[in-house]
Amino acid sequence: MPWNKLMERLQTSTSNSPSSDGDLLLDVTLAQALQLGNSRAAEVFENKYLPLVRATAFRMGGERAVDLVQNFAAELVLPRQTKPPRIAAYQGRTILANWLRVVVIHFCTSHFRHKEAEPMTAEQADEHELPSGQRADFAPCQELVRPLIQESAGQLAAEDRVLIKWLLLDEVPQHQVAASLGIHTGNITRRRQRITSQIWRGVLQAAGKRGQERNAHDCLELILTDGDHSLKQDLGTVLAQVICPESANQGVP
Amino acid sequence: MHGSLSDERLLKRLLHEAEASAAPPLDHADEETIALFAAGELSTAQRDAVVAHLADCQECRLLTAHVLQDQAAGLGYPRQTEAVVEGQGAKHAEMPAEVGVRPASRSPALSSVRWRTILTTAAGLLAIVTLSSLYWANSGPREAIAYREARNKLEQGEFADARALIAAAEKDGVHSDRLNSLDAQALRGIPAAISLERAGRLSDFSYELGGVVARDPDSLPYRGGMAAAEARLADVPGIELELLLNRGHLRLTQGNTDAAIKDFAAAEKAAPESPLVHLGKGLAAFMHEDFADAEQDFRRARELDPSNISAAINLAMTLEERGQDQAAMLLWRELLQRELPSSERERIHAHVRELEEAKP
Repeated sequence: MPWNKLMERLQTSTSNSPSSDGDLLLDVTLAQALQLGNSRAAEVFENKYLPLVRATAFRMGGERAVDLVQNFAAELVLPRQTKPPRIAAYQGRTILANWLRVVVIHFCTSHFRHKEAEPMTAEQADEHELPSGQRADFAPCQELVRPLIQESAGQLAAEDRVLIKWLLLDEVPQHQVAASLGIHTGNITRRRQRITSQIWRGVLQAAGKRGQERNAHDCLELILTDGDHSLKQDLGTVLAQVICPESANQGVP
Repeated sequence: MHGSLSDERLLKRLLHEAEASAAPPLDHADEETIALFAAGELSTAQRDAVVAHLADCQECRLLTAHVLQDQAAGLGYPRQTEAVVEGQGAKHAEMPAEVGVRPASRSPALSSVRWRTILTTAAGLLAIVTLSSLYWANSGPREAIAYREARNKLEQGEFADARALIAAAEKDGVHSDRLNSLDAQALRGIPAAISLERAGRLSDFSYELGGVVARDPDSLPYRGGMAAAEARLADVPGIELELLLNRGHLRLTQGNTDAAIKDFAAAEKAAPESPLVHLGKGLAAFMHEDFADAEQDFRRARELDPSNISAAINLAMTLEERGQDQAAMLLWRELLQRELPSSERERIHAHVRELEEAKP
């Protein structure tokens, strides 16, 4: 059956709106036809899905992101250097709208990360504002604590690691975290507290194994200290000499 | 050692640094798997495999976090009820066979998977499409997106753009009561959320200090587009607070106090503690010449929001209507102690002088 006829028949029995359960067949057909370069399929995509693409992009990065996805149909079907076109990755396991949302978000975040400077996190911004001498004060402590944190966090269950990173680093709302991990929202706060204590316990235990429990404790206090730069500098110098004499001699003015 | 807040602040900082120095994994979850995960459409085993990957893959975790945040914005799509994912996708070192990887080059096998999907879903489609078309006719993401975008424009004061967005949505067959309400607000050039704040004084409805109707009604604010706005809102059943306040204010502006009273009464049921509801209700009662009710509502509005100047001015005027000149005078004097637009201050000053001169 010619493509146009097929689409007409399918579309007369479905609304001109984003997909629901029953539209999977139409979605898969549309994706296949788009990949084959059918112009009618491109037209259907523009009418039916481009508003969703633009709205998702807008939420990700405002008008700048909307500009990025103006020709998203082409972005989906054009071959990419050594890779097949994006649309080839859609296999019809979920509705096209769900897949498109992830693709658009991925496309926008990748673009902003590669083409422009990634927005600084609050921590990076804080650090950015510190004079270089004060940043150097932290270096020995960071060197000490980083592997301890990695070791401690690495001992957590995978679900706990994802949960704490989503909540602390990515600021995903608690109810979304709960829904995606299949746990009750009411458990999230308790679980968050439990994971936090578990990480600290792990850090101090790991430091203890290396005979550096006291230094690790002081480092944590130092990193946490905000505002009092002279205290930071003093502590930093002392700790740098105790923890990493070589880096203290080389790195701290 | 630390309080819980500083614990988390410190942990956040350290996790961030630890993550920055960790080596990224070679493979990533494919976008369709992340979509299925975010939509809650994976089996427990599949979900656990994705979680295990997310625990150590910053890129996939961040992408999933963005998708979840996007969903949290209230624009999630409906779930797929029939799982068609078993046995698909290329294999990942740490994932079961059904969870795919990104990037995945397309093989002939994948084409056959896609067409197998077509065949397996074809039977279900015929039964579902009728119901789904009914469901999507007046709701769903397109309505939500149109509403959100139009509302943003309205709040930025871009009324023509808001109307254009609503018109485009309606042309595509997207209709809803709240889109009607937004369009009515855009027609009048004032968002409902601030209509009573900006134009909630009796003087905005042609009642002047110390007297009754004094001005040419056409010179009053927010009278543009009233007929079209009324037409937009006439048949809307009205269950949302914003819509009720919007329509109540419009009807007050039109002098249709009976209808306004009904809207504000319904609004009070929805939000009995809203000062704006009581302000609107008091205005409607005053214009209906139920001054005792008006006094009660303006007092309640002031209790709920002591900074509300409109409620104070309206109450003073109501007290005068009720012959409580002394109480009114106290309130006028109190008002003169507060920050007021200079023209309003002068009017109140003049009025207070008149009242003092009229004293026996």
